[in-house]
Amino acid sequence: MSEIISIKNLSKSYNQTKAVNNLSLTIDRGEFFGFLGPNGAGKTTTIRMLTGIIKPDQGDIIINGLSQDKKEEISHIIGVIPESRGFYGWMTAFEYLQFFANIYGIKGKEQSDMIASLLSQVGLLNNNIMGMRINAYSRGMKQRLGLARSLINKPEILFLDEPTLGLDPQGQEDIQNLLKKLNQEGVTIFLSSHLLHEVSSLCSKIAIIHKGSLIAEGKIDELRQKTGLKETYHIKIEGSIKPIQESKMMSHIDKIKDNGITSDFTFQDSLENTNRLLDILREKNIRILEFRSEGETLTDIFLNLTLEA
Amino acid sequence: MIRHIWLKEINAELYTWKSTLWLLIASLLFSFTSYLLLTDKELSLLDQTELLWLLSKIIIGVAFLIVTIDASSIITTEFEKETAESLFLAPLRLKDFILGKLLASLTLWLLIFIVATPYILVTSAGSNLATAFLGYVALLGSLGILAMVMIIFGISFLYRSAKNTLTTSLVIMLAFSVPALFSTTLKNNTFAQVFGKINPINNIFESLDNVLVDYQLSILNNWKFIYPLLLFCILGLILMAISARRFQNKGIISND
Repeated sequence: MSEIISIKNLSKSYNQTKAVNNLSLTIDRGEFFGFLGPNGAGKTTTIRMLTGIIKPDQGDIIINGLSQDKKEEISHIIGVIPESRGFYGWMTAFEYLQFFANIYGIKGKEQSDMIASLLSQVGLLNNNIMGMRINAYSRGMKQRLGLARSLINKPEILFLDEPTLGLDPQGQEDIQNLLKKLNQEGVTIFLSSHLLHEVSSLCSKIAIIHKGSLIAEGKIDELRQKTGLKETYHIKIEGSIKPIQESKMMSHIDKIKDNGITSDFTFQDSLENTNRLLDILREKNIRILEFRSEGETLTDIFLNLTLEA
Repeated sequence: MIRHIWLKEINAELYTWKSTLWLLIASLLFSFTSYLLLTDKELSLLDQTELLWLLSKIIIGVAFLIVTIDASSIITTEFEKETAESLFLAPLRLKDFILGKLLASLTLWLLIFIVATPYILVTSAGSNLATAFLGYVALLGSLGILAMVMIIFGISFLYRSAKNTLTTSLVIMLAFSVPALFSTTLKNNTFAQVFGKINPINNIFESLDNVLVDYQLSILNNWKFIYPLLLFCILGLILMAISARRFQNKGIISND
């Protein structure tokens, strides 16, 4: 995969405070990149520098081969859901998207088709909603409209600053599914979020920023290895756990609930040892009824890394 | 691009109850003044030219006030309602943004002028001054309002707050209007004379006096009042340009 975003030694200070400190990152074309950090870590400042809204004090940003001084060209290939969620409340969704389409130079039938398609994708193509002024929209509806606006120019890169903030679970899932679809279609996505489950379920690679500095970057498995944290699995087997009690794996088994008919337990170790445990279960003809990852590992990694820093 | 920004502002600022109310108040004020000037026993004793001059000052004063209030929020509202970030993430040049907004403010002035036109025509009937009255109010008003709006835009980029911009703009407008309240003795004071010569509002009033009362209709005879207005426009343009450059360098979002 070729590099689509390259950041080298990026820094930005506000008065005496370093918001971003010597940040370097590369993101490949087509990647779903998660950008994590606690509040005030410098995520929004980084996105604003990447999208040309603020200028860095130092450092280089290359977006799709274009340096930051080519702001106008860059704006044609990126879509952004910024932190500030202002809308022209007196417009309808159609008028709002039409205004932005005009700025992007999208006109005529292409414009109306594009707007209808986007409103449909974000679930706002409904006669009752279409006549409403944006002022009357709920926060979630505004969030969907913001996403539609960010897609108006068919961007190659999408920068999202907390895109599902304020959405109900169904709304979050809808947006996440749309983002997955866009990523599958080749759109590179830069997702800044504090929702760790969202990042872990969507992103192929993540970076963690803390106090303006990058403290970790890589795939979730790589970060897990780096922190020494182990994946936790929930396993349910048929019968008692006794047949495997003699195995060396028992030291990694916890939260055992054995009722003689079925047994529930958690297993925390490397993927290799997890596979060995599964082999042992198979050798002993023990039927596995349930096997799932506990899925909170990114939270552990995040806390581990940010507390360490 | 300029057109789209202009149209947005026309919809947001002019096709609203707020603008309609302003225009209604302006027309009521013009009606009331014209009625008084034409029917009041004492006022109707005024020479018609004096009456026209008085009306012209009211038209310019009302237009300055309404456009100042409107222009103070036309840019700052993008920051206060957090729409600036989305707007500047699109391929929109700052120059187009400013020109679109400037055109919208001048459109409001145009509407006030259109509202004032029947009053100008009625009050100047029989004086042969109707064309000059309309022409000079249009020319002087446009120059003065253009300069004022550019100064307001400059202040808007500095403050990014409607309240602060409006307060500062009204103080500036008030400072320019004060000499009109000076007594004849005060007007003869050296400081008052210098201030009067550089003061754009004073120059507009003096030029209208020259045209409507003294029948000095040619541009050449009014050049001494017009060139300070042109200088005022250049000053406004410089302030706006410096402020816009600073805004661009600091970034759309200010965290300081």
